[in-house]
Amino acid sequence: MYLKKLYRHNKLLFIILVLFALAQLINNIRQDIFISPIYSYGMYSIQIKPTQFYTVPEFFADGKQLQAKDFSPQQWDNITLPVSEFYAQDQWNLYQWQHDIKRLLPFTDSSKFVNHITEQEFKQWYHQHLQSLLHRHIDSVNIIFSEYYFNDTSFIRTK
Amino acid sequence: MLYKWMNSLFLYQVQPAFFYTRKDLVTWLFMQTGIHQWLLNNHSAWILFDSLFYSMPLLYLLTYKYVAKLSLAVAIIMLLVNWCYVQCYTLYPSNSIEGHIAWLLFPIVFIPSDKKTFILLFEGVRYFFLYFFVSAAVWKLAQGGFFSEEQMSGILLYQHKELLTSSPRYWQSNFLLWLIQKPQLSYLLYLSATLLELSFIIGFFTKKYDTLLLVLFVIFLVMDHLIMRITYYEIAPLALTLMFSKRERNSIQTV
Repeated sequence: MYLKKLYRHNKLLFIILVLFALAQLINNIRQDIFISPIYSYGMYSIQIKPTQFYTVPEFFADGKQLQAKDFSPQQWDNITLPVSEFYAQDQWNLYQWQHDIKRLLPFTDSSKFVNHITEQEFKQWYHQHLQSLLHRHIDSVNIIFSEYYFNDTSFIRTK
Repeated sequence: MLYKWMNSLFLYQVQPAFFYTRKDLVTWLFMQTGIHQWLLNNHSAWILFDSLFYSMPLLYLLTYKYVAKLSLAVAIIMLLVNWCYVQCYTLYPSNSIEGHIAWLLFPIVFIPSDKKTFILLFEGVRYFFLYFFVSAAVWKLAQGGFFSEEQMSGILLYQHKELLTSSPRYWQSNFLLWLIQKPQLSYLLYLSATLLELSFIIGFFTKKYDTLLLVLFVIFLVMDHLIMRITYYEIAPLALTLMFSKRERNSIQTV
């Protein structure tokens, strides 16, 4: 048996690995803060029911909409993730600092945990980023958050 | 490496300008160093980090082959480089840190100088890989996703809303829409994925089916890419522990 072999060979290593395994189990049960490299692997485990309304980000380069089908999944993530994370990070990062980091660690300076980038700076950066991803010069970049209604057969834009 | 470069996944291609603070105690301690901020908008630092990160495995191999007495030091440096790179990289809009677990754990296997410890750690990583999948199945049961007939339809709508709205006549959009409109059928996919993940539990009791588990893992990766457009290839190195499980068992018996 593995644990028996490990114990006989090196007791310290045995203790470390058993503690690692226990930490994985405990942290999964607690469902709290991660402690690298202890994570949980529960993607898409919570109940997700179809809804009728969705907010969909749409990306336009020189007036033409970028379509997910024209990119690999990873390339599409490179286009979409910066936008979704930028607009979420302002509140999220501050929330982390105020509710968890300050509570659990003896830090007093929030500057390492929050960004100082303005929306204008982000848009300039995103323009450059998109040019480098698409390997061409782009005159204009637009991001629109559209509202769609799903009627069981198709998506219909509402706003 | 080639796959990552072609998909603009190197740090110099991600070109980070901001970060998203992860809910991770170790990450917070790491962030206190400020390295993640130093990397923002820092072109030469990106090249340095990418060069270090992607050259370490080769450097370790060359050291192990030609200057064995330095291999311990290089293995430790590789571990530190990997941790530093992955902690930073996954703070930026890229992939999740969970998907990079192989980069974080595998260097540990190369630290010990004696063969038996190496083999035992390698086998330990095999158990972690099994746990990775079994826990994913347990989460689906514990959080209720498994018991919702509309689960897969809901997931597909959420995951593919951009594809479905921007390219409604694309073949993959039509296929996904067809699955969404048949929740019982799409649920079978979710059920199959859960059962596939749960089947890895057999690996805790015997190594007889490791080849089958390896095949299931490849099926999981392919189906995740095709149906979900989620690429989990960064965990592929962990599958080496299934490929070589019988060989390392024989090695332990002869050591």
